[in-house]
Amino acid sequence: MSLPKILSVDDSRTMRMMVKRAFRDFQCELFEAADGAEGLAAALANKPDLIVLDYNMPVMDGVTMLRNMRENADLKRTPVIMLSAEDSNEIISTVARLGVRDYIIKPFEDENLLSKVNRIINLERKPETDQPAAV
Amino acid sequence: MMISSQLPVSLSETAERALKEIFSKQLKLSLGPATSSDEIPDLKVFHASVSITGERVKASVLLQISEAFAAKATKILIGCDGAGEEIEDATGELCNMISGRIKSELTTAGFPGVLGTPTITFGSRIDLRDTIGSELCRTEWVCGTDHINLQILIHTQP
Repeated sequence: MSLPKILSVDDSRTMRMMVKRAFRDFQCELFEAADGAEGLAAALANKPDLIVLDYNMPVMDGVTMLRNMRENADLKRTPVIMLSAEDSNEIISTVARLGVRDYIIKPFEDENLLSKVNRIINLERKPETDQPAAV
Repeated sequence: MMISSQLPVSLSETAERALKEIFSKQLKLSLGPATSSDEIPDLKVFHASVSITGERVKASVLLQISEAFAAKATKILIGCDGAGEEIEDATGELCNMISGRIKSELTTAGFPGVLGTPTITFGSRIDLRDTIGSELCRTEWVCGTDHINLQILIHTQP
């Protein structure tokens, strides 16, 4: 069985590492991209089951990436969760019209991200590794 | 009807709420206002700056933290020791989150804008200067033994 694929798109390496850390106990394949253009290319190459997307990025922002995705037959139905410091109603309405499934405003907690992701894909915990016996 | 360019919010209270929210939720750290007996150490600091730009508002948010605190915050955020660019990036992300909360309050007050991307530099402490028609807020905080400086410079239009 193939693992669920998640693509994290954020220009902040810190945020990508925080997202990666949130999924560390779960069986999934995580890809990363640093802006919308890289994100679009990574999405086309890897066909993720879910994208965690920032709004405010250089080169190509999250909304432009979303618009491009919705015009692409392979990506138009890919679920997206926005994770952004932007909380303006205008932006939230725009991305909602583009079919974004959920919106998380930074700061965020791992549990919040995981619960929203779990509504879209079924995340399974990694099996616990055998602990060395105490001597 | 006259439309005022006066901010209906206190910038220092806005700065406090934003800083405390990010520190408590994302870093799990508490901080309090620096007192006059808290000496500001003469250290080189990271400066992270984010702009907020809208039709009626132009603002800069400047966060200044020591190298040691930046390294500590990076470790909390990413779960392991960071180095070089990772520390710079984490400092920028902290400022981005704080600026997001400030922007949200400005929007509620009738001054919507969009966030810029963070810029990060390192060096001696910077004090922003106000100009005619602008409002400046400088705040000093202590988190454990670390000094945190947050400044907001804002120019609004009717």
